[in-house]
Amino acid sequence: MSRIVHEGRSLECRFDETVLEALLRQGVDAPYSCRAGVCHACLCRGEDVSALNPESFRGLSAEQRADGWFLTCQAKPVEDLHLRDAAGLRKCRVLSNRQVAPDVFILRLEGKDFTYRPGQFLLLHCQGLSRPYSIASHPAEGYLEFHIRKLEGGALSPLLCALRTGDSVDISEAAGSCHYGSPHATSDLVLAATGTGLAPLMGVLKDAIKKEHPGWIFLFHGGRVKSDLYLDDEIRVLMKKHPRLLYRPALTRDSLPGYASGRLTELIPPLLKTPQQCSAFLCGHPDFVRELRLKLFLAGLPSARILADAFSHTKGAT
Amino acid sequence: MAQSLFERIGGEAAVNAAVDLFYRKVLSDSRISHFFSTVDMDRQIAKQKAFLTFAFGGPAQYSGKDMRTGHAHLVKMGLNDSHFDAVLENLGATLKELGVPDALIGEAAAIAESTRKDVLGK
Repeated sequence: MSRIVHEGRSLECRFDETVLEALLRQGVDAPYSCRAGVCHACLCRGEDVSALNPESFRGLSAEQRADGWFLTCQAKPVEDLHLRDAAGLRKCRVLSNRQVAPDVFILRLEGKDFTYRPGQFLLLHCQGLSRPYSIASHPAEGYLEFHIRKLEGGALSPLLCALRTGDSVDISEAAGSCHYGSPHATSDLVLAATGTGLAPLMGVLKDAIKKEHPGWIFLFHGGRVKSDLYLDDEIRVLMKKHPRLLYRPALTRDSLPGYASGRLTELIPPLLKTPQQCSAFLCGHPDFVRELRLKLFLAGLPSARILADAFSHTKGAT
Repeated sequence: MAQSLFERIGGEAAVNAAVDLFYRKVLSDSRISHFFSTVDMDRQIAKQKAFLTFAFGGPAQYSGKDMRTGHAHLVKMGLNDSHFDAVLENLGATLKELGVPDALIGEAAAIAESTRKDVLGK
């Protein structure tokens, strides 16, 4: 048996019991969903997590692990474990919530003094539910922006889409390693997203522009119909201001002038003239991310410079 | 004491330089690509790194049993000597492309060859 310290309380964790099971058994209202290490709803931070079993870190980057993040539904501690207080949660006021497509809302929260790197994600908590969402804003903008896809029958997304100015939600600290950094500064950037996978890439894009990225930036957004490209106008405005930004929207169902027809996985690889000098950020449907990642790798992009959002399969899924 | 093959070939840096090249070759080789394509590219890359470290005489430790259980599902898919030969061929081509001297390529190939029976479950 080991001990779990949670908000000043010392709880017991039985042999072969997960942290989540121990918390729930002892009356802690801990967040969770899939209990299989996939959805990341139970993501939590500990003081020293180095002794936890490897399953505790499924889908997490080395950086997150070093920061103490782990999955309570997978962790079976053999040593005492101190959880960081949920004081990490902070209440944020809703500044605006704008419907930009039949199933997409852009939620903006008050975010002054909140520390994050553009492209990272955090957990949005609302009415006892929580899910990871990517941050689409840049710290310089002063607010936090999220792209919420409303899933009929979903648990959390309809609640988030119904939020109004003045309401409040709780947010966790930011985490994640999908962000612009020095290894990308000398290359051309390929940002490719389907659906609301665009959110973290907008963060990465704004950061690259802010840091005066010297190479080209190719932004690809794929959808079925025109309304899926919910930031079309905003990105075109950005493109006018930044001559090294090239925006390439693509549609699989509609055929419209100015929009490529077909899937990004087919369209992107032949467009890259010097793939070995590119860095790529991919986010969206898991099949899309997997297929494009493989194709870019085979085209010559170094595997270490293809960043795929590890949470794309769950983010905003319910 | 003479330097180990791992040191002479360039250690971890050599593994890192070789892994993308090797994995790309394997995935592009229609004789064997179906044994290597998987949903999880990170895990495949990690596995190829472990294999290269081993073939370079590095610190990776494998038992014959690991090799057998690790490849049993592939043997069920029809993994045989011709596929093993193709992997060795890609390993040799990768090292050649990186400018590794033939003598060292031979040593690495011999280490990889030593796993044939276990990998193929013979």
